[in-house]
Amino acid sequence: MSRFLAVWVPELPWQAVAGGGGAAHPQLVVECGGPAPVVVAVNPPARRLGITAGMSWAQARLRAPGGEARERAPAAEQRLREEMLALLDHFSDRCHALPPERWLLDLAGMERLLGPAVEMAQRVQAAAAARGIALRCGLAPTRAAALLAAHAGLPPICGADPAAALAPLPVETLAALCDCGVDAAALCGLFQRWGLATLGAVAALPPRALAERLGRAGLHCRRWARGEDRGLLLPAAPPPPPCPLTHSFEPALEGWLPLLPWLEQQLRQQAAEWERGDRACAGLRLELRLDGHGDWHHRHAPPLPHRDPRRLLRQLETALALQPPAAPITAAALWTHTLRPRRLQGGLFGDDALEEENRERLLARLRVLLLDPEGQRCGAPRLRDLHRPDAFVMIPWQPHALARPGAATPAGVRPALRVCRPSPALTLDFPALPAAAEAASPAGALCHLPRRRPERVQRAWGPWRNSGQWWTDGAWSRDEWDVEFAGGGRSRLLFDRRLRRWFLLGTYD
Amino acid sequence: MSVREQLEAGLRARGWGASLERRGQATSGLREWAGAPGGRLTRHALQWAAAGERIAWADPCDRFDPASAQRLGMDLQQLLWLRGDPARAELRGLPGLSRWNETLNLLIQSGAVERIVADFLDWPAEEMRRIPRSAWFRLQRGLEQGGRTEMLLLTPVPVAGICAAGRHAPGRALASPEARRA
Repeated sequence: MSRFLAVWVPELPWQAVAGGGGAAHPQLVVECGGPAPVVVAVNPPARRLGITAGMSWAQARLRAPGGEARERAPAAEQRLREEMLALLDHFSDRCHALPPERWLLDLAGMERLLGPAVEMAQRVQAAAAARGIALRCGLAPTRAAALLAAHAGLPPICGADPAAALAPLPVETLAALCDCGVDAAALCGLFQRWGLATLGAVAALPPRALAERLGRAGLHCRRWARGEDRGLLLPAAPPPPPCPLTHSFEPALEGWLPLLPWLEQQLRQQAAEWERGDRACAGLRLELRLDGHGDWHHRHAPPLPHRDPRRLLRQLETALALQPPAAPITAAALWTHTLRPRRLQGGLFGDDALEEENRERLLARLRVLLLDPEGQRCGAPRLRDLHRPDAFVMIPWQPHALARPGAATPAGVRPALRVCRPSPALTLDFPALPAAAEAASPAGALCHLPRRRPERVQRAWGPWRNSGQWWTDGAWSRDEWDVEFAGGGRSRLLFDRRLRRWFLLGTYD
Repeated sequence: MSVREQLEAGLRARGWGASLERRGQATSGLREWAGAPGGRLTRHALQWAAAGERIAWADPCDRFDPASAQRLGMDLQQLLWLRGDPARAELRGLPGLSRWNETLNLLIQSGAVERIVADFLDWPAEEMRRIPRSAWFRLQRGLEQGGRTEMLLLTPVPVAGICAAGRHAPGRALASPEARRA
């Protein structure tokens, strides 16, 4: 029943540096890149002295004055990881790397080829020991249970429900899953303050109450404590570091056309790498160094990540044609930013992913046409629950998959308002100016509307007074009036009580 | 849910809801309602658009009021609101009209919406008259070829000529075929 094998190489930076040679005296691996040296891994004698990863070198030296410090070697660590991956690849093709020092194998279906799972775990340990790598294995029916078992050194969990086997483990074991998207280490401390000492106690917490207090992170911890999984096992490749593709041209290129073959070659190579690594281009930056005229820059961010080199080349070609470099090109650098491509489940009636991509592409083209790079003038309005008129925000347009038919228009509704943005100021000539003229009803006043002949207000309804946000600079306090002019038109006026002025809010149509 | 209901739901999800209501009869085309602001054209247009499932409201003068639209039954999540910026020179005058024409063509060709309202009621009438007739023919041809989109043009004066199926002259009742039948 044990399906997942978790492999943990403890203190991987130290094992990479020591090369399998154990020492009787304390040894530390120190990261020297920051402002102060920090311990990143220790050997067992140093751990017995209380030195742990994360301590500063000064703190570690106080505990172990005779300790040997070695500088961290990222290249050796990478070699060790590749060696581990090659070793585990013999046992299952479904291997999930959990950087920096853990791996997870799905052994389903491999028993018929390689024997029982327990034997496979023993063979993994033996093969690693032959290479001088010390590791711990955990076998369990679920991924979370396998990881916890590897961390705690549990024997293989053979039952279908791993909760009973995990129950006696201390709460701190949850910190082994700290790189799974939740800060489990912080939650462990909280659980300990609540008086929970074991995973069994965490697993017994009521989920609703836990979610109310800790949100989704609390539910994750409870699920892990019960050894439950959710989601698929996907191969995890670390994202490639952003490094530019650079090239110097000698002699300098006259014009941008000779640059295109180099761009095409680079983009094709990159696309092949993205294909292998399951990545897609989410952004592109081209920098050209010009002969005596500074630099030329262009950024391109496709609406959706993709890995089509022809489309990317066409974008760069268009940008170069629109703004050609002003001088010969002496060097070029191409930066790419990659993401995982989006995956959506196809439907019976069509390809939802394709439709969404088409919609994103349409919106991107509309935003370019309407000179709206921020997306504030091309989208769907969402009303805000404010008394302030014209209170809405623009959100990306994502219509319902299953739209409801248009609601019936309620009877007796007011006509639609055509809003004036920004509201133009008005001048009202009152027939007889009372003491508080601005606050008086505009009925009977002569209204000077912008670009129209003055009209007399025949009737007025109001005022509707509202105010808000007096604690900010965006405070408002206004009286709104619906007015009917002698010519028959109806408008909404507002009197701004802070500015003591009248404005035209809109016209009813 | 029966197979027929599942099919209908799926077709509605793909934007073919109006075709279902029409029993497959294609009624896509260009309508034009002309009149001065105050003639309740906006209200009629909102009601017409609210009956659609995916709506685009081209608003070159930025006069659309979302609260009014919601009061008149429009589902704002289904609405793609394209707001013009009258303060920008590129979106004013004849260059601005050219951009909006291109925008409408793009919307029609995409087939992403079922009903489009182009609100040019506050655009200067003399500039609207300078739009060549070929531009309206191009829009009409796109609507007919797509077969899924209907478009309503709100203008201060009639400009689309014979390209428009239904018209509404100022001071008169709605002259669209549906209104006449009603």
